[in-house]
Amino acid sequence: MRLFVLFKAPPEKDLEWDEADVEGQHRFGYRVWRLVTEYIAFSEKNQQGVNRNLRRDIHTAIRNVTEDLGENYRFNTAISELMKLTNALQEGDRHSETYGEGVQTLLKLLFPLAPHLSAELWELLGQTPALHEVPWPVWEAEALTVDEVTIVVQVNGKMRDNIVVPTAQSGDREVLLAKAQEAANAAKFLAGKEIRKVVVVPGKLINLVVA
Amino acid sequence: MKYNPSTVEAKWQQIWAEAGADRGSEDGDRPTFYALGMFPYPSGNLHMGHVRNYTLVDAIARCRRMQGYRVLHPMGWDAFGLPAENAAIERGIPPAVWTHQNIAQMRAQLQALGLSYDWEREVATCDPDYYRWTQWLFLQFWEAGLAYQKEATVNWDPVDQTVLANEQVDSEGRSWRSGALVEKKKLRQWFFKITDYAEALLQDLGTLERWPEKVRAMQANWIGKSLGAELTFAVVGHGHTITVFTTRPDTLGGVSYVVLAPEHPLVEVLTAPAQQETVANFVAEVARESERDRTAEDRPKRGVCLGCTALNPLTGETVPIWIADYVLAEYGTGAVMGVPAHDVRDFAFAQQYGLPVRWVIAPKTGETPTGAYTEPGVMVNSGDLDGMDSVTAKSEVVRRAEAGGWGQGRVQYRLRDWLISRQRYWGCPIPMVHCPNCGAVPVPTEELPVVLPENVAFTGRGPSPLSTLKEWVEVPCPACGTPARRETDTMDTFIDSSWYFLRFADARNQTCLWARSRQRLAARQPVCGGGRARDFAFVVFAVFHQGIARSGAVGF
Ligand SMILES: [Zn+2]
Repeated sequence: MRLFVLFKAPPEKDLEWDEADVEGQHRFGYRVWRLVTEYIAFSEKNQQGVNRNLRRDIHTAIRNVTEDLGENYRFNTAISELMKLTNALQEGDRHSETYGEGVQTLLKLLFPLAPHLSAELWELLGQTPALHEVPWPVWEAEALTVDEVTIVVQVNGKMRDNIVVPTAQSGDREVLLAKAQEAANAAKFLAGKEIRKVVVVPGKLINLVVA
Repeated sequence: MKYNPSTVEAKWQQIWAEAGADRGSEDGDRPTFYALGMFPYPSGNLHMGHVRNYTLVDAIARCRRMQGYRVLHPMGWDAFGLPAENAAIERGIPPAVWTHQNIAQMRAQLQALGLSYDWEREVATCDPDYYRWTQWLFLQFWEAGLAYQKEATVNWDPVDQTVLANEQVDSEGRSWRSGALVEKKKLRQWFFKITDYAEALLQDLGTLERWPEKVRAMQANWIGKSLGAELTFAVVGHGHTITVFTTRPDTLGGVSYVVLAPEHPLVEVLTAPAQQETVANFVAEVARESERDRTAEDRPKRGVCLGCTALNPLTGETVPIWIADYVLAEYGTGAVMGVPAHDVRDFAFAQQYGLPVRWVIAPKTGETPTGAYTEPGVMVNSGDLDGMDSVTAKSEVVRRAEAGGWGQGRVQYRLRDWLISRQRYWGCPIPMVHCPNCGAVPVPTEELPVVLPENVAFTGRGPSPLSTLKEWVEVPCPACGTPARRETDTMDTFIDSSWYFLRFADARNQTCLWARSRQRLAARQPVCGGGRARDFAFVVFAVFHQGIARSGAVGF
């Protein structure tokens, strides 16, 4: 209920009830509950180190929610950010230490909006002191940066261009192909030709065989 | 593991309460933050609007606490007002009892929502601890010459012999209880002289950047600053003169008639014998109408002529003098000039009563105007002003008026002095005593509060219950000791709620309204959540207090 009020209420608008939305906010509360309690029960926590992608999602959420709650008073967008973080955690790997950081951060950011739920989960997570005594998280600029690598673009085995892509996508055939076709110099050698074959060496190069 | 909201919520609410997690801390060098929601009227139940605003403010407060701020997040009750009296009349429950029951119920509802209020700072405007300072404020205004008495109209129920609030009069002008046609009656009442602060108010409101443009426009409209002139018309055949306020001195040459408010003191003096009956009937009829009806834009305006004429100071022509419902005695000089050619309302009035229309401003395009032409243009039919730009003519007419002694430039505000008296029981007593020798005498501040007696009989008929309490009303004059009578009017509840945000910073102080040392905890412009209309009134009166405080007239 509390989440619904906040989600549907930009400060300058009047509130309208919508049963479906109330239900949606309930579901969000239960999703967080299930996510955290399942993580508490998960026995292989903290067996891996840092997951940079998840960490970036966490710190992006901190930055955006801090702006929404601490500066602009935009409650609905704050909740959207928290939903995004919840999704990222649901898809993330629970073995990493970063995952633990993510769960804790989610609860800290959720506390102003859903204080009872998040305080209870915090306690179940075994954290002390109680959540109302915990400082607001601070986002780290370093965590927000995206790692990038330079990939060589070859046409028929000859180097024709370079493209820069996020490290996470450096083996993604579709992404590399799209970028390579847009690269100005490579495009000259591709103009009017048909691509017969694409060879990708992840993190290093993409070779386009044309005729 | 299943989530059980009711157990979990109760558990944490208790933990937070025991830890004092929500208390606004007085000490430390940490920055402060004031999270202020509008305090509610204790009707008995929270509605969705409350829940929403308080939840938003609560989220802000909780976030700031985590960020290390010392957060002031208080709650209180705007507890005086008419509904408690109505409940008393309808159900026989004393207003104080009804109010306190409702407060208890709503406090429990707020607590169940887990809103992080510092309950140790709770205030209710109906508690003597609070209204003592409302009365103290009144006395500051009195000392500064900003509180005064004058006659003003009230709604009078001739059957129940009682004064009615506007809300107790239905759309047909009948009493909510007796059904009697409500009459207007003059009573001597208390006012705050806020007009002295109109300009300061306007300036201050301009600095409230955080308020939505719409709200600020409303404020500006409410203050209603207009630049214009007061111009004097001599009445033909009398020694009297009529002073009108106009924002369009450039249209003076186009005046077809002069109109007084039906309540204008000159009406009786100037009415020709042949018109006396018509005029008297019209005046009585208008007296029964509300101000809003009289000035409503969609309603035809009505008037009658007095049977005498006035001299146009610019042209020397004579024009008839009328009275009309749309002119209000309290606004400006209570008289206006009628210029049908250049004012939409005057044009309709002139059509209705066959008054002449004379254009003195024409569009620069050279067209001939037909209806009311209200835009600037070029002067015509105006003697030596012809050909002049009408904007220039505006100041030229004022210059001539000042030189000729028949007028002067004036700034006028729609804002009127604030009528603060209510002939109601459930309100803050005005701390004044009326002495046959000394007149109105303030109750000495050390004798505050003037406590509102809570054991009163309530019928909804007859005079205010306060005036029938002999032992309360009859007191010796504080100045000379002569038997005197307490003021039995109470204050408009807007006064109670105009300063509550200050009291929260120092809610339990018994020696002053709030100590300066607490000022840091209450930021000058707190973050607010609340209903639109209330937001607006809140800002106006809060700024009013601050303006006065800054001017040094009242020492906070
Ligand atoms: Zn006296």
